Amino acid sequence: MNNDTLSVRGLSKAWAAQQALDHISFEQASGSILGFSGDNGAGKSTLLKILASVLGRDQGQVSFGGISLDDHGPWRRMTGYVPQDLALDERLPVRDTLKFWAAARGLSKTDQAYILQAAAADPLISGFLDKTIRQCSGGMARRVSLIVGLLGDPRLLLLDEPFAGADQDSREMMIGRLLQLRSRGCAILVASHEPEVLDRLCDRILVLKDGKLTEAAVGSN
Amino acid sequence: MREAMPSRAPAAFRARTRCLARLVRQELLASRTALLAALILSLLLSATGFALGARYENEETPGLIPDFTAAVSIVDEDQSLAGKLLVEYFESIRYITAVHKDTLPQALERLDSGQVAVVLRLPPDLFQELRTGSTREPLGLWLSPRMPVESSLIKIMIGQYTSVFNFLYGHVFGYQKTYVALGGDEDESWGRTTNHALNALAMYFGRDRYLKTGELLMTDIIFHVFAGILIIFSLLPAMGVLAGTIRLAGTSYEDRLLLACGPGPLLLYRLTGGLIWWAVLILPPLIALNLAGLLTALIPMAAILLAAYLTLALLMLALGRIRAHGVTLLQSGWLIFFVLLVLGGVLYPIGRFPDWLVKPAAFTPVYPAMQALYQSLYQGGTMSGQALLFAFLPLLPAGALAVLLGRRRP
Repeated sequence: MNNDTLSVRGLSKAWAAQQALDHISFEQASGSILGFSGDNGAGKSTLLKILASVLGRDQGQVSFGGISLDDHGPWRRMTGYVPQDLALDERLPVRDTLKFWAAARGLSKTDQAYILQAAAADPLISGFLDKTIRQCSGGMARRVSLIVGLLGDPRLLLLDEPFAGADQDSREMMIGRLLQLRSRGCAILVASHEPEVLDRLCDRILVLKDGKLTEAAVGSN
Repeated sequence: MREAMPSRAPAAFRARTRCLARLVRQELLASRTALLAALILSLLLSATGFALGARYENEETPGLIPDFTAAVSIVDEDQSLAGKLLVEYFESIRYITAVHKDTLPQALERLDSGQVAVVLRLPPDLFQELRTGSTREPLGLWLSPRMPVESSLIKIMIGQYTSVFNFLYGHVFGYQKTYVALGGDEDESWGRTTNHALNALAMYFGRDRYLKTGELLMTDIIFHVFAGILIIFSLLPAMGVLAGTIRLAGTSYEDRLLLACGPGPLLLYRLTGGLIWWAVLILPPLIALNLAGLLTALIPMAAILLAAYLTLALLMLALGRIRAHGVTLLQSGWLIFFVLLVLGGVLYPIGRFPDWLVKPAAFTPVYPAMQALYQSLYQGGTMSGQALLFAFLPLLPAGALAVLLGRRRP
């Protein structure tokens, strides 16, 4: 397990006249799960997008394990991101989806073959590898989305509403996988509307309101 | 599931290349049916181009063959030098297929039967009367009602010649009359000045003086249409680039791709996908034209059409990222497309534009490509280095726009 720490200092982002994030600061150690809760439009997705380096920030310093968010190449290589939308090509079978995203991450053919081999034994997706994403249920598609986010072995994992639309079985399997990743030293950030899921999953929960952070006790929900 | 994977981090460049290759492959797989339809269309165009070349392969001047042709009948009742010169002149015009020397009844019979489009009668003593400038009987002209298009074109042409002739006659032969009136030797004056005057007339008219700028543009129209289709085909993939950019811009899918590949492959894969479409649409017809002998400058022509595609594609990459409704952007893209077609002289020959529009049109990106392609077909495949250079110049501002506005930024 590594001892890297995610450090966020004075992070701000405004959309026109609206302050989406207002000088947010927090730290998170590797091997822990940090939850973000808050109403719609509170800034959870904006925060995760900034940390995923797909959205610019106005102010603030962000680093993880000595790598700055401004070093896009190294930052992106160590980061996994599961967006709120599925963001998968619905025409592709699950197997091809994995191949596509593995290649998109620049993994070699050997690595791609290994991923498919591992997928065939992975209880999260092994049962429907030949179904297209369109044919998958909401829970199945969410599981695929999570697995795609894990490609490339990220040290920092950002999950935006990862359980939305997932059935109970899918949630249990996904939670199990996330806890497993935590135990292996991955730093995980989860944004969710569902307090009970955050309670079960997270070591710490931060509440975003009007672009500002407050800390909530785990289990307070 | 990647935890047990051998930890071999690929070099960033190789990773991006793999990413780009996969994105392009995915794009092509998704549009394979449409791509096949485009290939069939392209092959049909190629066959047409090949047939066009075979049709004109025996002509004297490759690439400058009139589609419009007609035969004329001359009734020479004057039997003088003027009639001989006129027959010789008509015979050397490319769109006159035959010049019949007939009597008036024979000529009118040919006109009725559709063998000739025009009958021209030179009245007796025409040449003698031209000397004094006091013609009593005008030239007779009969036009075939069976061939209204040809007749009307010849009528326009003769009208153009007549007005020039009247102008020159007044100036050149006027000096003869003045010389004679001043008491000079009439025969000597006539002999010398007639020779000079007819030479001057022949030089002024030229053999095909009105072929390019008059109404007789059927040949030009064929090449123009063909060149226009090739230009449209070379630009269409750029509209695909716009559609792809709009579809992707600001979506979570794009976020995921940006995280996986970085901005370079994300931008390049749309250009590369469009390039493959361009190759499918453009290369077969170009090769067909080359095989048919109509286009010898194959590689420069392909380069010019490629420059046209890249210019518009780069513009569309920039346009597609503007923060506006997708439909608005798509409409704007098509508007730019059609304005470029018009200003580039694709839909309408630029030579017919009003003067104030010609100069700005010459600076649009499609104009050099259209001119180069059209001239290349028209002149049998030749192309100037300047044309090549002009075709690539618009890439610079378009590239700058794409880099400034077209890249996906965090």
